[in-house]
Parts: sequence; C-alpha cells; structure tokens
Amino acid sequence: MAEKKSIIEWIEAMPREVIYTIMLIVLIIPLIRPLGIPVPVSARIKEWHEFIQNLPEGSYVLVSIDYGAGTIPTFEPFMLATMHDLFSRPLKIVIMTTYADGPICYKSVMDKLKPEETYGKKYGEDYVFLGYIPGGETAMKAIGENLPKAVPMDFYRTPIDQIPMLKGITGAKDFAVVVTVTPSGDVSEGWIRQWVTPYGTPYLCCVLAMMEPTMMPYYQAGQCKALCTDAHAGEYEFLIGKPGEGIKKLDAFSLSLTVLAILIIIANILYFVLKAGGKK
Amino acid sequence: MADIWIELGIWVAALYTIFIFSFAYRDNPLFKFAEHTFLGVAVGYNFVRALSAIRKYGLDRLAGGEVLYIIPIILGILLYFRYHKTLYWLYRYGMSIIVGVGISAAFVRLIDAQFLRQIKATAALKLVTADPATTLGNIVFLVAVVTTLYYFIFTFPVLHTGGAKKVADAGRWFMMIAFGYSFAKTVIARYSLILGRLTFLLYDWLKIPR
Amino acid sequence: MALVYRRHIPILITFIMGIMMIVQFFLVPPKPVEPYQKALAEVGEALTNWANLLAAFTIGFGLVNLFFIHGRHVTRRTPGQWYYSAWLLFVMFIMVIFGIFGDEELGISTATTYQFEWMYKWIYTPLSGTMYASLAFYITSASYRAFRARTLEAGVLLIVGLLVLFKLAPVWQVYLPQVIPLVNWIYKYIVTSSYRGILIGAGIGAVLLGIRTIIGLETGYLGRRE
Repeated sequence: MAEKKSIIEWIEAMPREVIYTIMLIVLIIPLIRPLGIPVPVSARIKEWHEFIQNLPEGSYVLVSIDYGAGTIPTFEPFMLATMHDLFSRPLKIVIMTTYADGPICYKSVMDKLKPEETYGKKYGEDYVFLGYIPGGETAMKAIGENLPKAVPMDFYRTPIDQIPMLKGITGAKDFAVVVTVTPSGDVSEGWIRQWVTPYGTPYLCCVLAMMEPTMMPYYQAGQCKALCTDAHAGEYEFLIGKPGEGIKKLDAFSLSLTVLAILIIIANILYFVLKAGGKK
Repeated sequence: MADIWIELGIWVAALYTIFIFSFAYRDNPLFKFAEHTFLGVAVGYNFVRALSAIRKYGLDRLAGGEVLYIIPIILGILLYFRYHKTLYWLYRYGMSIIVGVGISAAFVRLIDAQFLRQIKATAALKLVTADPATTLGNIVFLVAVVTTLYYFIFTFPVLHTGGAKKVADAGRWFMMIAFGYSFAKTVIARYSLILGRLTFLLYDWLKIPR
Repeated sequence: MALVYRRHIPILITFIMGIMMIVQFFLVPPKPVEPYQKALAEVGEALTNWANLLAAFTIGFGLVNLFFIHGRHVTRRTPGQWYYSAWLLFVMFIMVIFGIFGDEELGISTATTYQFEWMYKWIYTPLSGTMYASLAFYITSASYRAFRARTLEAGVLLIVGLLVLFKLAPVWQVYLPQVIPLVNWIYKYIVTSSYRGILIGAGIGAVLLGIRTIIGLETGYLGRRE
C-alpha cells in the first residue's frame, strides 16, 4: 500500500498540472487587471533608440526580419517599435529576411505600422522589401558584396534597377547600419562575420532573452553597437510613445517572475526540511 | 463579408491555440489534429517559398540571359535524388557546393570576429582604474576568460589533475554563475512567447477590453 | 570506379569551393583594382549566389519527406494514424495550391492571394506561435520540480538565477533598484567573460571543423558510407 504523502511532500513535488494552472492564473491576471507598475527604461534600450535618432538624414538602413511565424508573439512588438523609430526619421529603409516565413512577419508588422498613412512614406522611394533571400550566412555575404547581383528583384517582382531608392546602392559599404531581430545565434553572429568584420558596418541586434549572454562578448568588444532582447519591447514602446503589446506584458512579467522565484525558494526550503527529516 | 472571414479566422486560431496548449496536460486527439495541421501548412508554405526563391534567383536569371545558372538549377533538381534507392549519390554534387561555399565563407571571417577581436577586447582591459568596482570587475573578467578557456582543454589530461585542477574548477564556478543568469533569461523569453498567445486569446478572441 | 564519381568527386568539389572562398578572402580587397582581383571577386560572387539558389531547393525537402512518410501511413491504413496523415496531406496540398496561385513573390497569379494569406495568418502563425509558447509550461514545471540546490555549484546557479529573475521583473527594478547594479555587475564581468571563453573555444572548434570538411576528413554531409 502506497505511503500517504504529507502536505509538505505534496507541495515539494507539486503535480505539474497544478503548477501549470498557477502559472496561467499569474500570467492572465495582469492582462485583465493591469497592476499599474511604472515602466522602467533601461540604458540598453536608450542606447538603441539614440543610435537610430542620431543617424544622419538620408542614411540607408538595412533591416533584416530574421524571425519566423513562431516567434511573432515575442518579437513583433519590438520590431514594430523599431520600425516606428526608423520610419519617424528621414531614412532610406531596405527590409529583407533570411527566414522562409519572414515575409509573413513583414506583412504582419507593416499591416500595423501603415507607413504611408502614419508617416507619409512611399514604397520604392523611402522603403523597399527585398523578400526572402535563401542561404543564411551566404545570403548576408552575397548582399554585402554586391546587392543588385544577389537580389535581382524585390518581393513584388520589380527589378532592382527600377527601384528609385536602390539606384547606386552596391552593398554593405553604402549602409549606415544593419538592424536585425532574430532568435538564432547563427544569424546574429552571421551579420557580425559578414558585415561588421569586413566592412565595419554598425550593427544593432535584438535577440531572444536567452541568447543575450552569447551576444554579450560581441557587444563588449564593440562589434555590436546596441544589444537588446524581446523583453525590452515594452520599455521601447514607452520610450517612443507608441504603446502596444509589449507594454501590456510588463505587469505580467512582474507578477509571474516574482511568483516563480518565490515558488522555487519555497520548493528548496521544503527540500531541505524533508532532507533533514530523512525523507530525501 | 471580409469581417466574417476575420471572425472565423480568430475562432480557428483560438481553437488551435487551445488544442496545442492541451498537450501540456496530456496527449489527446485534439492536439494530434492540431499538430498534423501545423505540419501540413508549415511544409506547404515553405514549399511555396522554395518555388518563389527558385523562380526569382534561378529561372528569372536564366530567362534574363545568364545561361550559366542552368548548372545550379540542374544540381538543385539532382538534390531530390537523395530519396532514390540507387541514384541517391547524385544529390552529393549540389550538396558539396552548398557545404564548401557555406563553411568557408563562415570560418574565414570567424577567425577575426570570434577569435582575434575577442582576444583584443580582453587584452585592452585596464586592470587598474579609478573606480574599485570596475578594477575588481576587470580583474575578475580576465581571470574568468582564462579559466573558462582552460576548462575546455581536454587534450592534456594532466591539466585537470592535482593542483592544476583548481584552475579548471574556477572556470566551472564562473560558468555556473553565467548559466544561472542564462536560466533566468530563458524563463523570461518563454514567458514572453506565451504572453503573446494569451493576449491574442484574451483581447482578440474573448474581446476583453485592452 | 563507382566510388570516384559517388564520393571522391563530390569531396573534390567541396575542396575546390572552399579554396575559392579562401583565395577570395586573402587576395580580393573590399575595392578590387587589379584585373585578377576583379575576376576572383566575380567568381566568388557567382559561387555564393549559386549556393544560395541551391539552398532554396533544399527547403522543398520537407514536403517530399512528409509526402513519403504520411503517404505510406495512408496507403497502409496504419491504425490510429492514417486519418491524421490523410488530413496532413490534404492541408499541405491546399496550402501549396493556394500558394502557387496566390503568392505575390512567386508571381504566377493573384487568384487565391486572400485564401493563402488567410491560411498563413489564421492557421500557420497561431499554430507556430503556440508550439513555441508551450515551452513556458515546461520551463515552469522544470524550474519548480527539478531546480534544487543539491550541491554548492547548483546552489550558486540557483542564487544567481533567482537574483536575475527579481531584476528582470519590472516591479523590482522600480521598487528595489539596488538589485540592478548588482546584476549588471554580474553580467558585465562574469557572464560576458565566461561566454567569451566559450565563444573562443567554439570558434577554434568551428575553424577546425571547417578545415576538416574542406580537406575531406568530415564527410557527414554526403550521407551514406558508399
């Protein structure tokens, strides 16, 4: 006959269904009833924003939407805030993707951004979308060396030589900055290898929070001018005055991370209590 | 009419979201149905993207007079022979080009980006500064880089025995601290993903006011 | 003789491609001046574009693979599986048809553009996002049930992890700002340095793997042994 578990043993080895339910409740409550916690703005996001704001007028910016449909919920708020920041300035923005489902992400962002209505921008003169370029790192190499040769037409099948803003653009040397938002370490490091190292192009990189430590050495070495994560979206929206999905998540982060930390502490205390009692 | 399709889309998306989440509790037919739907649409979408890339980067160039592109197009078609019982070796020709170009394009730049510049940045640290926290930090930084590198030298086992083992142990301690940091970052990354889906369910599907 | 064209020639092609890229790296400056530099640059660009085109062909492997595997389930009526496989093949077929006659980049037609966009917006994107989002359940469960300070090292990992969790929560950044400089010091000096050591080590490994692949010692990409 199985030994009956004490309440301490039950809490220490809480069934996963109970843990999931607690997690869902703690995540949902702040979304329905915001806690009203002030938004802290970190130095990193200020660095990102200031770099964009200090770009000279007419600078060419390469934005690479290097995430797929699976990470739209986490990256789109940050990408949208970055696009707002870029489009609010007189810059020439060349958008591309090295992910096969990148075009889905581009359309999703542009449907919300509406650059023509919001900023009076014109496709082909102020911004252009080159579409999906296969090859990963070799794609980055190809467009860095010779963009017109690597990409014969844009996403809408307009030949590159017929796009006004791309006249005279040959490659990485003509760009003031390359911006990427990606969950992939290969992609975030690939831009450093193929654009930053040979051409010295400044690089702004947004990665998944858990990839941030792998990019920190590049940031510290100056190979990356600004390094942010998907979790910075709320701060960015607050900074540029364009509240969106990112800000809504901040209260949920506050509650969920605190509750998780407290639960882990409780579990460890109970573990040591049980160990002292000879039950572990 | 368009509104009906959008509302239908929201319901379809919400139901699929719930079906996938149900796996967290236990495997069930609804999850399997959603999983197979995902595989089907994902692979179908990617195939369309492959066709558009082949047309844009291959067939259009061939039609534009760049006749040499017939070579990668033929090699690309030969790639599909990997599924053939006896002619599978034909796919190796195209794969060799992908691997040869891809690997060397990466590693020639890697030596500078991931190796030389990292060493340079470490060597450029000022070990004595006006701020004690920065001075301590820079010394710890240098020690951590060296001991972490030392930990991964497995060619000479003697480096991991006796007194020399303490250097490797120090590297392991620094890595434990780094992995603790990574763990917390992983948690927030995952929560960010699920919050994206929960905001859709609450605001778009259940129409709870934002 | 068979081995020559089945293995040796592909390995030789890898070697030639690798050497071309390396020669281009060493002999071609960012702005080529000499005729040989311009020729090498053009050859390098052409080979890179060929590799990108070949990479596009590899994206279609998934469809072929799934077609064979699930087609077999349907024809053999595998119990408990064949109807899921039939549904998968049906949905895949519909997506391909809508895509061929609706994808703007493919440019064949716009007859089914709305239907194609509807499917990827309301089926593919939510399913894909939810697959990733489900990981939140597992990390929470794993953190609570398995994360114990059984050893001193695990204890250090736990304490640092908890400190960083508190710092990442905006509420503690606002109401307990002392946690920020402490965690910032940890990531600036300890996390960065540890990962730099890992990065340099991984870099050495990657370079060696690249050289071994080019000279034909690593042949995993060739698939079978014969």
